[in-house]
Amino acid sequence: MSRCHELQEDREVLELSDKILLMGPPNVGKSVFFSELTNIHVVSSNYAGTTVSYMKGTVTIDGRQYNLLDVPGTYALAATSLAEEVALRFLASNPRAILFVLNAADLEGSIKLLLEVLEFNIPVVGALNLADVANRKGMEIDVPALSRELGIAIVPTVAVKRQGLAELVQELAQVLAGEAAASGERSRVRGSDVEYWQRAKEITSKVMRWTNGSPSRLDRLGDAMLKPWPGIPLAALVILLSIGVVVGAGKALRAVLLLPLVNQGIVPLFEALFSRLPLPEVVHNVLIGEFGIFRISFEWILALVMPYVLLFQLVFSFLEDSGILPRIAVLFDNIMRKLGVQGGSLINIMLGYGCAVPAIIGTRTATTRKERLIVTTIVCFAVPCISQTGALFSLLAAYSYWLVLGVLLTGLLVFVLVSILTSRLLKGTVDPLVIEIPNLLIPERRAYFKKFFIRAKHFLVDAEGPMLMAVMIAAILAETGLLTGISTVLKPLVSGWLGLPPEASMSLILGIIRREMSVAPLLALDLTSLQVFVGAVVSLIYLPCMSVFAIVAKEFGAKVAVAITAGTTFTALFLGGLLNHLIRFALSLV
Amino acid sequence: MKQSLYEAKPGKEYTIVHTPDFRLLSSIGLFNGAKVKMESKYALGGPVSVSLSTKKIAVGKDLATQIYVREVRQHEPLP
Repeated sequence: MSRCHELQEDREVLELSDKILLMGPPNVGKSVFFSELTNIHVVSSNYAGTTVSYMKGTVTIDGRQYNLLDVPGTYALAATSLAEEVALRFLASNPRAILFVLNAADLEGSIKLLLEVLEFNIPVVGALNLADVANRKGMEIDVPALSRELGIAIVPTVAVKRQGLAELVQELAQVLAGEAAASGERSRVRGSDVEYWQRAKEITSKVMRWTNGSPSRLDRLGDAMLKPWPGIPLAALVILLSIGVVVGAGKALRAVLLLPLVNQGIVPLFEALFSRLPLPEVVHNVLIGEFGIFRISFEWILALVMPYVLLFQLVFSFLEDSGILPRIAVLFDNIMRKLGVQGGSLINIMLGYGCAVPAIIGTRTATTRKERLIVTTIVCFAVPCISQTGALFSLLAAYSYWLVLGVLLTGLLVFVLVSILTSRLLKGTVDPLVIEIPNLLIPERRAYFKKFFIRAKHFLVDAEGPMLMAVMIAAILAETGLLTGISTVLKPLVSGWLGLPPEASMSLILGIIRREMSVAPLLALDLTSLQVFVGAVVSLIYLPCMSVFAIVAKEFGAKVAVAITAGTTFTALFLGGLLNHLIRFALSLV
Repeated sequence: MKQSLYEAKPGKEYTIVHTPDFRLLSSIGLFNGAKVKMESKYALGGPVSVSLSTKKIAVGKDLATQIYVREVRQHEPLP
């Protein structure tokens, strides 16, 4: 069922007319081209198709609009991975032209893929990107010679600085003006990889020569980060620093700016406004009561969720662009391998600490279904998204940092257990790590902030609806007295088993919609340290939010989504209650 | 002398003489006849990292033990 759905969404994109494909090997900065060339930054809701998310935008060339499609980066076009299959489908969908991005610092690898692309008889314009990195490394490329060898126009570019983009568009215009036949079918049977590599080596040796490069400090740091010493301490430092920035600055923003703004500025304004209106008491309370919409939407969304989400995006975009993540994947491959996965999965898991949805989509790069499932399960069970982390931190740190540590360790324990269990129980195999380690780069300011703003905007667009929905449900439940009824029903579970006040049942209800919304109601309750700990653990493991349920169902089928939901709910409630009773028992002995 | 990539010595250069049937290896550039320089090996069952002419690749232990290499004797520069 889900399969048809995928195909349909895919078809919409494939059937677009006037397509230009943006292709190239992974990690060559294609998305920078994409966001620099398209004026509207529509990261089209990302999840269509059977592979890593691709993006669609429009670009105007010679006064005419074209659809630019960002095709997932691959090393080959042999249909042996999901990403390659999608690339092949795009090639067969009658595109007008291809904009192929070559990595000047790895010319051979880029030419190898380009040779395959050229066999499809679609007009190609090449962008020779990262020329600055190549120069630094002592590579000198004869661009006219390269262009002759390949038989296509090649434009040297530094996309993050917009260098060469205008020429690139001109070349595209020329290619598009010509009525070249775009068959989209291979002109011959695909050769072997070795064959393409040999031809790529030949061409490279003709057009590139080595001069005395001067490895920069960055190159040396990049190499150092790869060695176990000092790589592991450096990676640990980077991770701690990132957490420190997000959590510390988030807390500061909240205390200094957002809480005063909400509590002394916005909320009193609405209080004054609504008290003047002749409203029935219930309506008034739903609007501005203790759990009123106009109170908690600002308290929860603006002051609790936003600072952490934005700071996370800021930090994570840096980690992504700098090339640090693959180095972490390499350094921790040994641990991940013992847990039944491989280091590369860590990149998706770390993405999950931002939001589970892109993390689960990101698993499409995994080579086996088993690996995809393990990572998805880990992310659903043990990886809180940043909104939830922020909320949990605000809740726990108000009591004690030991509680923060306790919940963190519980999360890691669940992570390890889920990984070991799923890798033992699920059928199939997980492939070992094979990963290209990119050069370490300092993200270019303009491109970096652009990416940040696009992501922040998307968070607002995607998350606002569900967050407001949660807020409205919370307001109606709490202010109309419905919650009292529900709490009575759930009391044996919430109070008897978990040891929380009956009103905490609100957490279990809102948690269905979004993860941080299971934490937010706890902030308003007067809890003991034990109750806060139990509540935090339940909320951490408790079911993934609606968007995550939807994406799991889409990627793996409804059965898997229901299984994960049931598993997380049961584990959360079971473990929460167990901890409650064990700790109470232990305390009674002291 | 033939040995597995996992046992190769950091700093030395090798020619790959045998690769297991794992597609990603050849498409990323590790195929029979390719020249690599061993960079480092990570403890506790970690991967090895090697450099090709213009890029670095890390390969997990379970694959590295199945890739066979022969040391390049004379110090010839990488192609």
